[in-house]
Amino acid sequence: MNKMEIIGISIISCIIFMALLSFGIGSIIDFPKSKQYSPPSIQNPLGTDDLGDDILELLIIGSRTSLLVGFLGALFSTIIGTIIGALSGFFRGVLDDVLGVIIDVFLVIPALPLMIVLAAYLSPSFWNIVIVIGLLWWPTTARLVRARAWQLKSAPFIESLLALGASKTYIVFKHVLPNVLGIASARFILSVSHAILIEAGLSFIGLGDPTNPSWGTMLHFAMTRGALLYGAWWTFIPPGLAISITSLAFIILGMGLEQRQKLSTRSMEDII
Amino acid sequence: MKKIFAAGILVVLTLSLAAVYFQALPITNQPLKQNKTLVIGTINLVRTDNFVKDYYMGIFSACFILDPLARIDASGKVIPYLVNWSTNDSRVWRLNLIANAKWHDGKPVTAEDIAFTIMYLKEKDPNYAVHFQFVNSAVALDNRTVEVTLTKEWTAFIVGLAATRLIPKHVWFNVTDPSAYTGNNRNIGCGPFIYQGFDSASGTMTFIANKDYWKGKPNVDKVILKFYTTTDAMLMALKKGEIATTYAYAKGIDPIYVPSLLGDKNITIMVYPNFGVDNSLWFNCKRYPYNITEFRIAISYALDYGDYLNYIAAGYGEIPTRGWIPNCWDYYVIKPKLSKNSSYAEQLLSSLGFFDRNGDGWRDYPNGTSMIMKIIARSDIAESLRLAELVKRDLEKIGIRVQITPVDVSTFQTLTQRTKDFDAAISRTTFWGMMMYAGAGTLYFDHRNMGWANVDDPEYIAIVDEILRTANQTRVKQLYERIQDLYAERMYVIPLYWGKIIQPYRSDLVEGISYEPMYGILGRDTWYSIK
Amino acid sequence: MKLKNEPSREDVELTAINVSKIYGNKTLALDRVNFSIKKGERVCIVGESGSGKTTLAKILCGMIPPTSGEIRFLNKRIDEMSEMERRIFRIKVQYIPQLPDLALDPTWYLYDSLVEPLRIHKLIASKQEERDLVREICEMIGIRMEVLMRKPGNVSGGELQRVVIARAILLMPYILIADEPTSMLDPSLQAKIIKILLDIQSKYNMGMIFITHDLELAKYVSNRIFIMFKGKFVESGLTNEVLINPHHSYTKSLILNNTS
Repeated sequence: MNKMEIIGISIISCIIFMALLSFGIGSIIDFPKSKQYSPPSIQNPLGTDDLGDDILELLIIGSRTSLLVGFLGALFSTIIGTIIGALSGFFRGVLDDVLGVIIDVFLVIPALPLMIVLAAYLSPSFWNIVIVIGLLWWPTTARLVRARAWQLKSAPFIESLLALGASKTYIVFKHVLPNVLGIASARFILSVSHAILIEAGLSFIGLGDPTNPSWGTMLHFAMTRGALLYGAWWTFIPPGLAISITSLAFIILGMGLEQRQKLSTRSMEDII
Repeated sequence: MKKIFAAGILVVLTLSLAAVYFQALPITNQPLKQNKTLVIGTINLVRTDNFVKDYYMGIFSACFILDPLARIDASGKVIPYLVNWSTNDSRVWRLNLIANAKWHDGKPVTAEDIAFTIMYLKEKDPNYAVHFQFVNSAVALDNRTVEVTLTKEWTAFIVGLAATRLIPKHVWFNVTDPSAYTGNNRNIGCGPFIYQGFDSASGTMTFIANKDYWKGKPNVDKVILKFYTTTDAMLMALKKGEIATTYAYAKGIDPIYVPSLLGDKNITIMVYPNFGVDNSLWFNCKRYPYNITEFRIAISYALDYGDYLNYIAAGYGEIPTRGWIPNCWDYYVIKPKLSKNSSYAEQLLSSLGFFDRNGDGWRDYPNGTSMIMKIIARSDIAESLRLAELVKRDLEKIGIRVQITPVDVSTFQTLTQRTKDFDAAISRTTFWGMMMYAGAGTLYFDHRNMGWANVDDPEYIAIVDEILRTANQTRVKQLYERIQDLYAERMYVIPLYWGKIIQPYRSDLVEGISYEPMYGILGRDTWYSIK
Repeated sequence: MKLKNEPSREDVELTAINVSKIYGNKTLALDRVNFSIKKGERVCIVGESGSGKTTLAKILCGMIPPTSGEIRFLNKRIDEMSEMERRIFRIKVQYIPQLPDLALDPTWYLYDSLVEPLRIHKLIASKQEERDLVREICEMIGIRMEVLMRKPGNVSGGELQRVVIARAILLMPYILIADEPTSMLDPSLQAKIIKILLDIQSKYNMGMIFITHDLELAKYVSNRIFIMFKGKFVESGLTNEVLINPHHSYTKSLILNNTS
């Protein structure tokens, strides 16, 4: 393990621990409800929000949604990207032409504004956010996987399987996919960080799921319920920092994994 | 590396947000009083300056450019303005033009314009389809008299006159689609201000005082509306003195902002009664189990009204009574205040057969299937979502599983007004909504009209029908009292809190603002009372 | 292990008639090549790198199609074969690539890679039969069973090459094409691998094509030899005759280079 992986993993473990803690909250720690916008105190270490809810408690509960959306959104986009990339890179021909055009179209259209439009069109819910992230964040993964699949196609073991008469679908799923997993997993970790930022962004502008409290939702209500004007800095600094630190941790881990993958600096830039 | 850098910037940005708080706010105080320009901030965003197409342009044109035929006084009564009226049978109405009004292009206002406006708006503007739903014909008898014939007796016809924005026949008579009309004369009216222009890039709209207004020239020369996308930005501008006051149709500012304004010695906060009901829990009274009166009553005992008042209205308001109608109305009847009694609520629900049947901790339907109450709330209104969250917690405490569905405004309207595909909803009502149809909120209840509550209770329907045809005001008042009995007994809707209208202004920039229930501080009186 | 409709070995012959291969639009890799091999024969194709040896090998085993000319197996053009005949061709003509990085799937255990051809063609009835066959072949080739529980990245080049050979042998081919099977190995291993291949060839009486640039090796392993130069056979015949009495100047220079 290199230094970056250790830093990334230790921060991420802390946050996962927070997310696990959220299931027991209320029974383990019971933060009292208090006056709205109470500043940090002994009862409420990070103060309270507009509903008098404890910020620390919300931060712990919010980590669950933020992480889960991050993981699921990244997983979804990585699966789509990997399958499309592998099929397109391996089959070539008409399929590749079609998929290639789709990849290029998705790469060219600015993802974030489209996500905003799509998220606004769909009703705000946890799964819709995951789907929006998944549907729009796969093209870079697909492009990288496609390049890798293309390389693999001329690898001797694939050639010999073709000569043996193995079906192409068999080869894609049994051999090409396992061989692009390394690149896909590094990309997955980086996508988690993107997905967390996107979720926070969408929630912040009010397109998130307000019933599933996340760090982005905390920021949203801080901004729409006057915390800024009130000077209740404790309502927006903790979630803001939590989002930054978490996504930073995933980026660091992703870069560490990439060093392990021994990818060139050039391709790392592409991934990021 | 790029990304680490970006994330670093994010950290810095977050911290700098905090700095905003500590930063002393510079006061760029311009003596707006001297040059007689009034700058008003608003979050009611206008997208295009066509008053038929754009809802808020309609509101602002009614405030500045177009005159109404009648007005609503501070107590909510309809009083004559451009016209006076008389009727013998509540079917045939005579409207007499009593003002010597002139259009902004110099032409005189005539009875022809009035007759034209009524028939034109009824046909072309969906908003007026309700106001003039029983109008059969409107004919100018002479220069000053219009005869309106209704299809049936209808005493609330005059309410529609207060909503009517008089438009010039010579501009509109050959415009077939008013919402698409872009002619330069599209904003000609006979109101106290002349439309000057809308700059969507800078987000400002300008009005110049009408020197020839029939009631005299307003006390200001110019009004500039500044549009803000967030309340935060608008109030920041108020603190800086960039705007003299704020405006929101049928609404003040979110009360949660009040504490942050109280410290500023130049900002005065006026508190007015709210004739609308700030946020109620609306049941779909045709859908099981919300069609069960006892079920609705049980829920009314589960809610913590004090919390809503404290956390949502920041204490600016009152705990409502079971009669729903706010106490500022003249026909208000004292009813018991709503209060929480969880054990009674639980007992009532259990006795109705709604108890946990499968051991998952949540109440189930009497037939054993699990129950989820879906509450829709407006996703664009933060306090609505927060209120929904509090209601959800209260209901979950008595074992009712709740799911909040945030919806945008058009979905909200579709679900509550057309498809009726909802269990319960959270929304407020406006003064104007309370006035419309048979009044007393009937617009929002009666399943034959907009009817969010989807009420088809025959007793209720009978009262509404009687109000609609009764001319005798004493009898109407009796019926309004009776309707409050029904609200209290049957709990079609649970009012969550009665709010206040909170209106801040800068006393160093403007004084003497007047208030009316319909258009708030942008009513006609303000233009003659401000200094 | 018997295939349905398995032909008798006596009439096995793999033939290339007038085979040309053009890569892209320009590069002429093979120029009207004629070649044939019968069961029990050991044939060498000798040439320097880039002469078209590997291209010919890949065309012979059906990995890539020729641009013109035809490949015949059991007197049938391989591009006109029925599914059944094609399957027999694919099983009975095997190719051992020269050992690069990706001779076997790096993510698979060697055991799974080894038996994969059997599984693809469903040649084995039970797991037990499969294991017995693997054990038998590994014993013969000299692979320790525990090596098969590893992935390609964790075994030596010699072990990997043995597995690659075993993988081809498992199918009991009639014709085995070995493409520089020892070029990536150190000299002490080379001899062992060659010995294994020769043992197998004689044991099963296969037709075996060695592809190499090494004349010493060719002399040692083959009865017949083909000298390839710029996509053409410049000389062919019995190995001893060709090497003792070369006619073509290229062959002469090859022999000269090799002895010096």
